Amino acid sequence: MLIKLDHAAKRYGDFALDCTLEVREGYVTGLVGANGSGKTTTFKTLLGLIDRDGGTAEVFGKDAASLTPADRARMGVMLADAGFSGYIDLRAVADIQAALYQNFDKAAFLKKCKEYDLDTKKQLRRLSRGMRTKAQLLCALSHGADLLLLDEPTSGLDVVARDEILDLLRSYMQQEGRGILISSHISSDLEGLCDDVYMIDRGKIVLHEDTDRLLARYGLLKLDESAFEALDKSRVLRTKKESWGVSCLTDDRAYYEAVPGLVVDRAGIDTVITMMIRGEAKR
Amino acid sequence: MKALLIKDLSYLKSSRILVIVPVVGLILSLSGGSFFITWVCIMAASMVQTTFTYDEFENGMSYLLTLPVSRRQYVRSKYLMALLCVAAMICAALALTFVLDAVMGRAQEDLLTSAVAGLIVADLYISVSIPGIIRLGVERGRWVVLGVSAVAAALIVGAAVVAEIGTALESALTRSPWLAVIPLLFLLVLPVLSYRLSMRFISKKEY
Repeated sequence: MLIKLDHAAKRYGDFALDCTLEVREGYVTGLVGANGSGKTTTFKTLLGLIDRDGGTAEVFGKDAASLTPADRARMGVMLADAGFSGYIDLRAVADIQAALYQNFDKAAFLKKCKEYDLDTKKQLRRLSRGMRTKAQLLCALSHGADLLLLDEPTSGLDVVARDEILDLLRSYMQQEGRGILISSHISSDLEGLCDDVYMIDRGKIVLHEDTDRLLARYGLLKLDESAFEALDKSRVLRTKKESWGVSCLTDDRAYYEAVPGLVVDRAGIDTVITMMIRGEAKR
Repeated sequence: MKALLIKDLSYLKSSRILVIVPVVGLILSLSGGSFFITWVCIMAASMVQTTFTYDEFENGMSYLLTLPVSRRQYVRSKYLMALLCVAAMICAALALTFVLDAVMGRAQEDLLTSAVAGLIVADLYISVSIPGIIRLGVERGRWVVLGVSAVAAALIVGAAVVAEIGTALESALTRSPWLAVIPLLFLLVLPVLSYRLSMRFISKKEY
């Protein structure tokens, strides 16, 4: 197990994190949720940047608060809007990385930067957002880490840049024993990349599901009031009142598809998030 | 720790401070060595503050502490950086003053007293500013540094009248040589206390 959080708790005023999740070797695990739902707090808890108020948080089987530099050398981290000061260039970053990691190959890193059209002589702040994100990801990938922690790596990027980043992550996962915990607002990124997904809302995990199972089995029923009243709700997870009637989220789409006259749509991650967060538990 | 020093040097290289300090320093050195040496010590000490500013850009501290460095190493690197800056710059300033004295045919001033005064100011500046910045961040830490600067200014003014108090000090030292231990103790104990305080602050701080 690469990561294990068991009711890891952190309280900030009205906000309370109570997070339970796991990242296994060979898995890309997604963490999705709205702004302020607790994604970054979860990452900071895992990285020992904040003190837990309760529960456990383990990385590589060790308490996250007591990770050594050697443990951290096995991790590649990308935090939302955080990095080296923008006043240095990638050559300086390469020098720093070379001193930080035994497995870092400076020449290979600079070559990779060139492949991705990154100007290594330009100050980081002069690079476009997409370029800078790519540079940060290359840094996280540059030393053969066993675990990547990526907080919103595709946020604010155009489709082409996002695809490049997802390709980099897919290549990274080709080696056995590795794992990624990634948070993103963009569900299509997660659908195409993640093996399983956790949904977090107001600090709590509200759903954990394998991505394939979610895409294959979850569905959205659209019903008028009378059809809703007559519905067998045993396989309904959430309901939501709409202007035209009621929508229902189910984790057994096939069951309802067999019912004549019912409209059942495929539910992507976006739909599931919306329903899990905004919907009501069974009425 | 080597990586942290490389990072700080990269930040300093990219800042204007490495242009401004030599230029202003050269101008000051032309008018005499005493004030120049003291000024150089203060500038060297303030360079560490500059590196903290860069660390805080772009939520840099959160990122730095995800790298394979401990919080302890981070604090150590700042004190080491301060020591290196002060040592390198005071050596360069002394060398420049000697050369200028020789070239311009100036009478040699009491550079040792200036250097000691400068070191005491730098010592005070570093010892207060590092824990202050770690505890409060660069912005609020500046107030702490301002307080230190006020003390430093008072010391510089004091150094200006050193000629008058110098004789009294010299005779006091002749009578009681052990008095020389006081500034030495001050120079040694203050950074140790400061270091311990910084360690305590950083171990409790959340990023």
